[in-house]
This record gives sequence, structure tokens and C-alpha cells, in this order.
Amino acid sequence: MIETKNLTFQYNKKTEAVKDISLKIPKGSWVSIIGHNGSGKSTFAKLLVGLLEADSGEIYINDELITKENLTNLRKQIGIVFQNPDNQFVGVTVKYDIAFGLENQQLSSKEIKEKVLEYARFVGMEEYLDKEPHLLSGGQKQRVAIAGALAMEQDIIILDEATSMLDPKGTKEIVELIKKVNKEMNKTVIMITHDLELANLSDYVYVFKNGSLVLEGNNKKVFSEKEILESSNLELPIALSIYHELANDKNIDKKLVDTLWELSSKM
Amino acid sequence: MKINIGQYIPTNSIIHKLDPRTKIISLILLLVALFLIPVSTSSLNLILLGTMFFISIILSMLAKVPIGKLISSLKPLTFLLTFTFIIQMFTIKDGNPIFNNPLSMHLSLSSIAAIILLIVLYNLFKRRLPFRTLLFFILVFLIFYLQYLLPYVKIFTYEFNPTVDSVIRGSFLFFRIMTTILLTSLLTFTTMTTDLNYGFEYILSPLKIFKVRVEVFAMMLSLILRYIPTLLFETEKIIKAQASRGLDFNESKLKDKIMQIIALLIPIFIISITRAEELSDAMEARGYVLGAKRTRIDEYRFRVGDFFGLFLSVGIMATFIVLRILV
Amino acid sequence: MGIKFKNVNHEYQSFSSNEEAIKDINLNVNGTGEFIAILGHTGAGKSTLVQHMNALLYPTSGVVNVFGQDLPPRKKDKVNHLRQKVGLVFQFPEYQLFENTIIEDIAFGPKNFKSTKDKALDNAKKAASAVGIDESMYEQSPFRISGGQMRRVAVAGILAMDPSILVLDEPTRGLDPKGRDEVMDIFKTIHETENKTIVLITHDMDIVSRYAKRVVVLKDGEIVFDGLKEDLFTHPDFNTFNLEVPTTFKLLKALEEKLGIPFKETYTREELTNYLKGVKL
Repeated sequence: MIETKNLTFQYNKKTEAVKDISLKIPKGSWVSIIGHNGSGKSTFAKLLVGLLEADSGEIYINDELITKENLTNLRKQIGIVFQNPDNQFVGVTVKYDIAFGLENQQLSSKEIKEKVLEYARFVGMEEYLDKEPHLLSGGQKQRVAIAGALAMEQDIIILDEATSMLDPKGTKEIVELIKKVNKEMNKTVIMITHDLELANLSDYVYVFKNGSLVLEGNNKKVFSEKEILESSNLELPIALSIYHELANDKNIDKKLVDTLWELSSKM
Repeated sequence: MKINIGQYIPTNSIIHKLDPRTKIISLILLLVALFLIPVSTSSLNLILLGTMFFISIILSMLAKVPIGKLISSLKPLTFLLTFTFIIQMFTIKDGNPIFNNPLSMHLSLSSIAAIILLIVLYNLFKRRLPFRTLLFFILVFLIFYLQYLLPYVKIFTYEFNPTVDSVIRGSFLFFRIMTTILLTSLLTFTTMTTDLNYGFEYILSPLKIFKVRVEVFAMMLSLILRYIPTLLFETEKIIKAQASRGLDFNESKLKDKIMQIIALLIPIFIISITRAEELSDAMEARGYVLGAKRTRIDEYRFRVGDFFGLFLSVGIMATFIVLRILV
Repeated sequence: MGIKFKNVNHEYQSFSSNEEAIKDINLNVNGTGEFIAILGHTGAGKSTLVQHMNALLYPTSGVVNVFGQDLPPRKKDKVNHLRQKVGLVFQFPEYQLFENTIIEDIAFGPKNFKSTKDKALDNAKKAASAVGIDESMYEQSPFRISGGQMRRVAVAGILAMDPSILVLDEPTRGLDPKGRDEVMDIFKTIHETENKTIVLITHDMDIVSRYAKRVVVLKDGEIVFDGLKEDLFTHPDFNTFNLEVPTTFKLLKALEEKLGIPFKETYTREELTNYLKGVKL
């Protein structure tokens, strides 16, 4: 469970600010944080994993207050996959990259070897263990990043725009993988994105705008707030946007409207 | 792009299976032994040098390194080796002269012209002809032979009187450099970069006493190795992008060349700085703490072969030290 | 005049394992008026193909003729000037920024093509306004602006050269929805007002659906389809092309299955909404 209380952070003009964010993310849920570029979503993620220190406010992970002193402990509970596949790939090959976090956790050589194999298999990169990163596609590198995070066996995993730089094929690979993670492992997944089709896959959505949390709720509720979304430079997926336009139109058959809603969550 | 970092050749020989620490330490010991041999023409020293050379050949065979690779590792040194040899021939005056009478060498208009012509022809045709190294030697030989042959319109004349000793010494230096290259190449041919990295980290670890953060340098080296191919790719992309904006890498005055370099360097610089920021965030989030203890996925253990190899290397070095002191 | 590919092959040297080859390419791109989408799976040869268009790559056999000049060129021929006529915008073009100020960076391209300094600056200003970069930003550093703005500055840098043909390699990759729309609208406007030919590599079928007129599909280095986008989706071999259908099509097919609404080819959200408004169940 993640809880923040009045979290505030303003570093300089370049870094996005975060103002007075209070929210509660239940254990095991799949949530999305959406917002325009510069709305503070990535800053918030960095605060959660302890890469930034808040100016004021508190963060509780599993009822434990996060401070500078218990960062090592924090790193055991929450992991993050970033946007640029090349800028988080540390190892000389896939094997060494997945092993990186485990080496930091000081596991034994045998344990590391087992986990690397297990999680490489889980993400479908077993054949690529000895491959160097420049020979891999973006989607493959992100799968390795996820394997690395899963291998550390943290309860919570944050995906900070993890598919933004990928082509549709790569995005699809990652989405399927996340679905698998959510189904087979009881992890809390926080997806940060500006792609509402992706956000639509999660159970609950938080909307950030200019550093503040302006809206939260389940998909149906959040995606019907057209003005808020539009003013955040967010674009509803086609099915949803048509649904909203027709939902308020009295001349349209209700069956059509309902079917559109149904389809919007599948596409 | 398949870029091979280092020159690892996987032939799975017994040398490959040795612990990287063994190989690095042995290399150091053997090189020390090699350089302990004084440069002289005495039979003992020549035999010792020959032995070291022979040892390096044996090791290469044990490592199952293809001969072609061995030769190509020596090729970059051709110029240096030839130059060294020539210097010896001109400066060493001990021993018996080779020729009965000193040769008169002339730097004359005709000889200089002929030499320049020869060099130009060599550079023009070198790409199309095989056996470039051999041609190079022929070129060097001709450069001097022409000075002997063509005295017309003399500008400067000097005496060339090489002695037997100078030739022997030249050869000595030649073989010593060759042996050094062979032994060092053997290390990179038979050891993967991750293992080399570990080996160096282990051997340099005593420096920790002096507050040198060896493990941090080892991590830096590992990251450099990981990013070289990626950076090469990105450089190529930047070159193409700037070429698409009209940056012409073919026609250029000096002023333009500077602009070309800036247009390439700055983007690479920016990419690298951004990368450094993001990478350090990622590493930190994955639990990396500078200077903290870390374990390894690879296990390194000394085995019988390692002890044997180390014993041999120490033995060889000890022998050479003793010989040097006694003789 | 434009670009003509005649039996073009391009094979890569053996030490590259993830570069793409192209084979038997015969393709004509008109110097004006076209809006072509280049589609295909990753590795199909799209990047290789377009890099022949501005002489960054030459065919290993066959000939590419760009505005009257043959490639590979004869010994004495220079090719640099072709890059002004065919402007290529790479993926993540913001990586090419390097000058001290935004306006200088945009003017870099025109300056290289022997424009006078003043004319280059003029072209730069025109291009800046075409991408929505305001005069107040001219003297700022190109590195202190947002990612989306950097992308637009980079695009302006190519527009400022005033090329006849614009080649774009996934120009919207990595942008948020608003950024995507803004960038595509820039190209649409240029295409409509200046009649420039646009060649666009993309994976986004909704962008193809919305903007493209003609589509060229590559598969394993060869062209498997070259025609109007309307004919693409109804092509009998469509399933072998490794392509998705646009979202509008997916939606309509699903509505047909569930509610019996007759399928109609619609390419934009507006078309589809209007169609659905008029439909009787």
C-alpha cells in the first residue's frame, strides 16, 4: 500500500513541480497516473522511489514512513522502469543486466543465476541472455528492464512512460507482459503514461495537471471528464471519444452507446 | 553492427578456461622476465629471448588462436619495428662491419626525387596490392638502396657502415616487441571483457588501502564497454542527420572542418550527459550504492590449472632474475 | 521530376547484423503533391529505402535518380545539393540540435546550401513560425526547452532548407497526443499550402488513415503494395503485410458483429461519428 500526504516538491524551473499530492494506492491494484508533459507525474514517481527528497509532506510504503535513512529498505519494496530503453541498461549483456539489481542486493552467485534464468524466461528473453544491448530492439530492452525489476521481487513496480519510445510492436509486447505480471504475481503496478488507451487497461486513474492531482477515479468516471482531459493535452482513444459524443445525444440508440462503451475497454 | 569489443575469440582452449587473474598475473610476470633480458649480442641473452618468443608461440598454439589473427595483431607495429631496426643500424658501432668498405650514401636530387616518386607510388597502389607488409619492407629497402645508387647532383653524402652487432641488436628489439604483442594479445583473445574487468579489479584491489575506489573504476570500465557500440551507432546517426542538413564531410576548408566537429560533438555530448543522469537514477533505484559491497553472478575459483600456470610463470621469472644477477 | 528507383538493390556489408536490405525496388515519387506513407514491419527496409532518397546511401545495384541526378554518382558528381531538395527528418530529430540559439540552429541548414546569411535567417524565421516557434524564443538555447518544442525546432531546421520533398521517419515517435497532432498538422498544412510531397514512415495506422493518400508497403526488403490507401485495406493479400487496420475499421467491424451495423470504410474519427449518427439499428 502506498500513501502520500501533502507531498510537495519544487527543485528548479526545469524540473516539474509536485504540489500537495495526497493519495492512497491499495495493495495489488493496477493504477495509472496520467497527465500532460510537465504535469509532475515523473517527479512523483521519483519521489516514491526515493530518487528525490520532498520539500514537505510524507510518503508511506506499507505503513512505513520513507526517510533518507531507510532508502535501502525502500529499494527492496519498490522498483521502477524508465522511459529510455538505452539509458537504464547497465549490463554488457542481458544476463549481466538482469543480475545487476540482484548483485546490489548481495545475493549469492547461485541464487543470482537462478533468478536471472527464471525471470528471463518469464519475459521471454531466455534466448537472448548473452546478447549485447545494441543488438536488441526497444521492446526487448524494456522487457529486460522489467525482468530486472521483477527479479528483485519488490511488491510495487512503477512504469514511468515505459512504452513512450517504443513502436507499436514493442508497446504491445510490454502491455502483454504487464497483464501477465498483474495476473500471475500479486504486485501493485503503477503506470505513468500519456496514452489513455494504456491507462484504460488499469483499474483506477489519477490525473495530474500542473503539479496537482486534479481528478481520480475508475476509468468510466475519469474518462467522462472531457474538459479536464482536454485541458491536459490528453486525447481520448477513438472509441471512448465517440462514446462520449454520442452518449449525450438523445437521438442515438442506447444500445449503440452501450456497445461503444463495452468496446472501448477492449480495444 | 557486430562490434567486437576486445578481440575475444571463443575457441574454448585450456588457456580460455584459466581464471582471468591467473592470466593477468602471468602476463605481468612473463613481461617482466622478458624485459629483464639485457639488450646485448651475447649468446646467453639471445637464447633467453628466443626462449621467451618460443614460449609465446607455444601459448598461442595452446590457445588455438588462428595464425591469421596472430599476424594481424602484429601488423600495426610494422612501422615501429622497422624504424627501430634502422635506428640500430645507424647508431650501434660495436662489432665487425658487414661490408668491407663503408658505403657512400647520397641524398642527391636524383635520389630524393626517386624516393619521393617511390613513396607516392606506394601510397597510390598500396590499397590494391596484396602483401602490403612485404611491400613496405621492399619500399624501405629501396629507399636506402637508391641513396647508394644515385649520386647525381649531390647535396649531402654520408657513410653507412652497419656492423653485425647492430643487426643482431635490431633483431633482438624486433623479437622482443613481437613477443610482447603476442603475449598481450593472447590475454585479450582468450578472456572475455567481463572477466578481464574482474581480473583487473582483483589485482588492483590492494590499492583500496590508499583510498582508491577500485570497484568504482571497475564499474566505470564495465559501463564504458557496454556503451561503446551504442555510442558508435548514435554517432553514425548524428552524422547522417547533420549530413541531411547540408553538412558536407567531403568538401571542406579548415574553417568548415571545425564546424563539422562541433556539429557532431555537441549532440554526442548532450546525449551522454542525459544518459549519465538517467543511468545514475536507474542504477540508484536498482539498489546500487557507490562503494557498497556487491556480489557477482560469476564465480571465480582458482583450480589446478591456475596454480600450475602461476607456478610456471613465477618459475620463469625467478629463473630470469637469478640469471640476470649471476651473469 | 522527382525520385525514381529503377531495380534498386541495397545489400549491407557482412558485419552488420541488424541493418535492413532492400531488393528489386521500382518506385516513383513525384516532386510535388504526393502524400505517401511507407509501411512495413521493423527491419523491412523502410529506413534504408528513404536514405536513398537524399543520397545518404547508394544502391549496390540499380539506379536511383533524384531530381535528374543518378545515384550512385559518377566520379566527379557532387551530391550534397540533393539534400536541400529532399529534406530528411530522422527519428528523434531533436538529437541533431547543437547551436547556441534556436534561430541559429534552424538557420544551419540553409546556411550550408550557400544561402547568404540574411536569406538563411529569413528562411529560418519562416520555418520557425510554420512550426509554432515564437519570435520570443529565437535567442533561447535549444536545450532549455521541452522535448516537444525541441522536436519542432529540429523539424523547422529541415523546413528552413525549403526542400521540395519532405521525408519523415516516424516524426511522432515519443510525443504525447497533443504533440503528435501538432506535428502532423504542420506537415498537413505544408502539403496543402505549398504542395510539397511528403513521404512518411510510420507504424501508426491511424496516422496513415488520417493523412496519407498513397501507401507503399515493404516486406522483407521488397515492395508488396504501392497504391491508394483505400485499396490497401481491401487488398486480398492484406493479411500477409503484417499491418494493423486503423482503429476506425476495427470499431466498425466490431459494431457490425455485435449490432449488425453495415461496415463502411471511414478514415477519421469525425467521419465515423457522423456515420454512426445517421445509422438506424
